[in-house]
Amino acid sequence: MAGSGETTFHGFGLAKVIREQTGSRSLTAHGTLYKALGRLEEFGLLTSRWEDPAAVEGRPRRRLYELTGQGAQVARRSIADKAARPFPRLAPGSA
Amino acid sequence: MTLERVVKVVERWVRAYTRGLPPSVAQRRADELGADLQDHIAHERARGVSDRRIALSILSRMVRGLAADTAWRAELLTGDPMERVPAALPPLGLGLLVAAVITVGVMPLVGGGAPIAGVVVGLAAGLIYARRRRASKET
Repeated sequence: MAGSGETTFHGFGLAKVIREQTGSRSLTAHGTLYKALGRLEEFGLLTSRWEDPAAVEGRPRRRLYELTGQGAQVARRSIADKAARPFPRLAPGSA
Repeated sequence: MTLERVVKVVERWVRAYTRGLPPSVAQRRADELGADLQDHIAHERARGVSDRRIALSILSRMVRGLAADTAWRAELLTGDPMERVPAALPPLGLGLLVAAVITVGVMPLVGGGAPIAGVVVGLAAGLIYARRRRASKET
């Protein structure tokens, strides 16, 4: 979600972005997604809070996540590492 | 199986694997999953996806996350994701659960199929899970 300009995100929103960015047909499994988010929170890379009830418009309130300073630093480093060592990608049908 | 029933299956599964955990932790997971399900349904309906395909997608997300859910539960109970997984959910239990979900939930969505297929896939899932757990203990 880096670069999207949004500072907070929620579980389903993240699953959606992962699907779009990886080109996958399926969304991340519930168990995998929420276990990973919980783990990142434990490591101090994310913080979370419940959405403001006034903003939910009749739907269940979401748990909103935000990168901490340390999390943002790790994310930046990860993006830089990825850019420095790009994996060769085969275009579909190039074989 | 209708979309509403699939949502109920997911809610039952969340109740099952959060049973015995601190109430605040269990409630948070249930509420977070509830919001996720609503967002998922609303998003896919807005894209014109049929309820049948949405139901299948939700079931798929649940089934693929079973191992992570049970490991998360075991970790919360003991602090070790692998040691107490048998207590949280034995391989046979996982296999039977997967078999039940496939037989009751997935088969009708994909156009039927013999119930035995669900049982076979479920038992295979249990065996794979048991093998992975054994391999994890050996390393």
